[in-house]
Amino acid sequence: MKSLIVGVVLAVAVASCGGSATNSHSASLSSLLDRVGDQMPASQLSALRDLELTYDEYERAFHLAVQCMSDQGLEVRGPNSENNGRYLTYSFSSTDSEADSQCFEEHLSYVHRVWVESQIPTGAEADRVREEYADCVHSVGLDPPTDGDLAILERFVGESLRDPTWGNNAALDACIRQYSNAIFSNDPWHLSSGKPWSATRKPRSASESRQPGKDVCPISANFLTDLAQLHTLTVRHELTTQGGRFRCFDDSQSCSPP
Amino acid sequence: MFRRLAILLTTLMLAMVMIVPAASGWIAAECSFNGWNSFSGNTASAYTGATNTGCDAVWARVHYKEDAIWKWSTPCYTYTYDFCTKFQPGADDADLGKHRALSDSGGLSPWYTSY
Repeated sequence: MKSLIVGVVLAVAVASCGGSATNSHSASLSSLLDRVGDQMPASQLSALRDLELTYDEYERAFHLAVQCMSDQGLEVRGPNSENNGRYLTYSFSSTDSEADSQCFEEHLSYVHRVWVESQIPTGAEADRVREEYADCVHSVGLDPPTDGDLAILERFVGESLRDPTWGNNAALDACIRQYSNAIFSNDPWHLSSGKPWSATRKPRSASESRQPGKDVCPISANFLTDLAQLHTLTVRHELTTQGGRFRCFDDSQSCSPP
Repeated sequence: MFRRLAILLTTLMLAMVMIVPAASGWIAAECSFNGWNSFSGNTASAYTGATNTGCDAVWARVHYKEDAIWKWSTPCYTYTYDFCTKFQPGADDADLGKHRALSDSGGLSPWYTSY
């Protein structure tokens, strides 16, 4: 599942947001800029070039993206702050599901990914959150798997939603709002009645406190370099897909043509 | 008689194929993935998951109705896990999901639709 590039990206992301000191910044910065060149949009580069992503920068990127979409005539809502400022998001009305893509790529793609990846709990904290999440799901009458990680539990909850027996269950919805969207989603809307797990979480370091405007996710220079490599790879293969490499199987009615 | 029976059976089989909802699955280079969307309670959901080990990342977004307006959610996406589920609480309805994946070799699929 994980390529080397992505593995490195995530490893560095986790390390950088876990309170460890950033390193090799100055040594890699010029290399980063050389690699990124005109690939990383200027507004995102300005937010990331100091190798720290603050909540203010994250929020500013969202405002720029939403303004961009609005300028393009999209009926867009956002940015909304949810989960005690943990995430921001937007939604839009359009017959084109990709109508936001240009503005997203211009203002949010790197910044958003850096931020979202930094919010996923790891290690003992992930274990604790999984336990709380499983308890919540169990309390509504479901029987979640007793072993496995957060991902296995999340998949179980998703499948449960498709079960008509459980699909219309407000209590299960509450568990999703409180845990799933706080952990996995970049779009935790409508959480005013939910209590995100982060509310009871003790920051591992001062820089990890969840106060809007003060949050800082240190980013290593390597992380940015790897992101740039990934972006280059993605763009290159986007171009190659135009030859129709992708196809649909076992349900052609549900597949859009490449 | 035999010919009529054959036509009837063929017609019945085609009708069954058309009314039975199949799982939505797609391939992007060496990455196989599937997806679905659902609506229950007040939660709209869209799921995208890898079905083999050739995927690097997956995305999902859901088309949902809120306050009488149809909207597209922002996508969930992950490089950390081999799936992501976009849960959209507060929805009044949902009708479509959009699904995308990035293969190990960097092949990025288009957005596919689940109904």
